[in-house]
Amino acid sequence: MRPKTLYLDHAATCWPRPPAVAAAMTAALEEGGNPGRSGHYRSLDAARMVFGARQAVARHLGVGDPRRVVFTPGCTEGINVVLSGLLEPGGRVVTTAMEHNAAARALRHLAATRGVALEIVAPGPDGRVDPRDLRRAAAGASFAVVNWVSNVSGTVQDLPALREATRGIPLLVDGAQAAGHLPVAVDGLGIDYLAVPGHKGLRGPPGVGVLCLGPGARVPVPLVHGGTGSRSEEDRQPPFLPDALEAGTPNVPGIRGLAAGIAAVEAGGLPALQAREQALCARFLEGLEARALPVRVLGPRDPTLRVAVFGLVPERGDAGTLALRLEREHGVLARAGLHCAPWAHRALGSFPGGALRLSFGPDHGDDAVDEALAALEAVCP
Amino acid sequence: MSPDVLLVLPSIHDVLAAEEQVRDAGLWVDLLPKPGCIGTDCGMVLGCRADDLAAVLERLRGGGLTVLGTWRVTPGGCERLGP
Repeated sequence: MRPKTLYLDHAATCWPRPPAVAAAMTAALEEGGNPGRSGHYRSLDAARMVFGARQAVARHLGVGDPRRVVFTPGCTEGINVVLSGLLEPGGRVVTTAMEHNAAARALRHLAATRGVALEIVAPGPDGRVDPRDLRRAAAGASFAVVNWVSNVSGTVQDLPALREATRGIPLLVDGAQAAGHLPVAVDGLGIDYLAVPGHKGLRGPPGVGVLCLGPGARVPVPLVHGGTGSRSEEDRQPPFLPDALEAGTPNVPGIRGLAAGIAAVEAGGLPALQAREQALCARFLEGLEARALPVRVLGPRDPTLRVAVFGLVPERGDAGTLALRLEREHGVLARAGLHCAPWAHRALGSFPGGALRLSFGPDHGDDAVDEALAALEAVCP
Repeated sequence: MSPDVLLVLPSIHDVLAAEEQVRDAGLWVDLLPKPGCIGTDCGMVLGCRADDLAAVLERLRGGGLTVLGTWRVTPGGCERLGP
């Protein structure tokens, strides 16, 4: 039996999940049925469940028409569907140096294979991108990609301002660390494409994510073609949503688990969760300062400009050793390294050594912050 | 009760959305596998009473749903009523 631990790796995946998530997934497996494929009640029940989950996601993410909610295997695939399905040779993309590899690698690949030009905008020292810089770089661009919340520094971008700075250009938002932490309104914010995972802030299982399309957004050329249960007489992918981007049997247990996760987020009340997360940020940052711990904190000091994802660069020693000692000596589970975001680490001056990342979750309170601070104090050389 | 009229919509999502909208309007509907007289697709169709058809179509139009075709159920199968 493992000793009691403090799980501070919510930016990687949430834990523990609400019990309703596993219950919903188990029920889906036990009940069976392939949605939209057959006429019997198990198939129809599964279809109704997916339908209800799509409506719940649409409500939670501010998408007016649930048909513009596409279930994906994860955030990364959603990003790749959009970029691969829309960017054409000769296109020019404006993006930020805060992107995760989910977008960065896809963009580099398309630059190499399709000749897509990249304009990468550097952030300020706290990771915030100045909308004026983005506006300047966006001149002549055909597409924009923005990471909303950094998985390295917790930095929250001013998305309405960045949307305004890229007005007239289709905008893809990587919402991996935003969903479940911030109010999201795809239609209200004028987002054309939003990709989110199911297993982080939305508290669902891994293996399911969501791609939302804004009203009027062009449907990308599908990355995957195949059966949808609709227009079976045709050997071409249906052009309408969500079927156009949902080839193959959907991940019904995952989708059902995601709906249960979202229900748990909503039961806690997102405004209350957000307020608690900001209070937790303030306590952690003040605690670091009070203890004068020898680490450089990445990201904003203002709790309202960040989420509870803290990248810490040790002044002495290395992040990997600190992570190991935190777990072995104090039962604190954190993540060291580059967090699949080398662009962001370069931009924040923490490349190649990386950082120690502590990311808190929705069930954490002051005691978790204090325990983390005490453990950090004990292991920092 | 069996439906007199079948409505074909693009996707299972739209069929379920249609079912919800029509039921919300207090009208009777049923979901059925698409019969062979309409096509060999593996999808579902929405069934309703002939007397309700106009109200159903109006409701679906108002709800932003596209009806691809309507079919009258006959003893031998079905016959197309309209687009």
